[in-house]
Amino acid sequence: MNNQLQSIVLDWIPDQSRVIDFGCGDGTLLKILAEKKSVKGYGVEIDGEKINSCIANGVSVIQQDIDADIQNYIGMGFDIAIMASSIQCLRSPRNAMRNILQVANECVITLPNFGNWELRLGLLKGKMPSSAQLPAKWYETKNLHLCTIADFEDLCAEESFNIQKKVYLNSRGSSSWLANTFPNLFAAEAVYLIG
Amino acid sequence: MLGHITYLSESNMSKRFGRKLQDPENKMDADVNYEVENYLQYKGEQFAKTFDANSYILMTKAMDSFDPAKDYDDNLVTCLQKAQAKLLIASFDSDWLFPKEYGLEIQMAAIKAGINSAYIELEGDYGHDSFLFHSDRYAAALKNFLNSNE
Repeated sequence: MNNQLQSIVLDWIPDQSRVIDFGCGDGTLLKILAEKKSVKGYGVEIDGEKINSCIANGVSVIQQDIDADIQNYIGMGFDIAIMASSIQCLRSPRNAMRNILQVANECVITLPNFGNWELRLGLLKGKMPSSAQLPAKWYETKNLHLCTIADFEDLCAEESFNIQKKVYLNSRGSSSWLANTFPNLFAAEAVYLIG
Repeated sequence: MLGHITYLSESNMSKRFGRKLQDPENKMDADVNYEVENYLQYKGEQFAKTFDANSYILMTKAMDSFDPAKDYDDNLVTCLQKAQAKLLIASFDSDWLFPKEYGLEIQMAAIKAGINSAYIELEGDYGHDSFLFHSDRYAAALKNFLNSNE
């Protein structure tokens, strides 16, 4: 997670809140949140190696599959949920979105924008494109459900997910005028606070 | 010996014994047909020589009656809220004595209780006894846990 993205997420997470991070990776974000915002954080991660990194980071973590197990966290008293660059890796992103808003009143979602011009150009050349946000080759990627910013916001509208805040970042991780004016074309990543 | 089997795993037992017949020269008993029978017979005799059978009955009762939530209105969450240590819960996929669902139950209660706790699932060929054997992920998890400052 780049610095700009991290500072946005840090800004949106209330002090001393109970946080659950779905797809927490090596636990870096939760560690920083504990240090800087005194949150009580838990991570959910499926990858055994990443779980071990979480343990090394002193992060409370649980090895589970988000698709299958997300509903287990409903009623656990979380204030806010995070799903950073994970939603596109799920088998049922819409279902996960419906559940995440029952797990916590608010959630922070970040996602790579497949509508970004560099990726479109890549596709125009006839190959599966890659970028800093989507570095893996098509045969190695864990992404199952890539979408554009327009697609994701359509889903939010259809499902009445209330987007409270959003920030669009360009491929250098900055919130530029171009990325914010034409996000679907110029943003590489989007961050949402949904509740 | 039924109890002993629960410490092992189905896959390991079938790899080790399967339906192999016991060679007649090393039979523990005349009516033994299979290697697994012979092994259990042998183990049973070893246990009988080493332990008083009554100690097994007592241990079984002690294990059956162990219930950490008993003094907290059967509420594991309330019980864990008193914990000051951080937890590492490791479940082995072949363990049928203490299956992963039990580990998960503790982890979910730890989350509700708001205490620091990590839950991992490990692969192991030896059922409940897997915790006695080295695996890289198991060793790394333990090492990371013991070294972490939080």
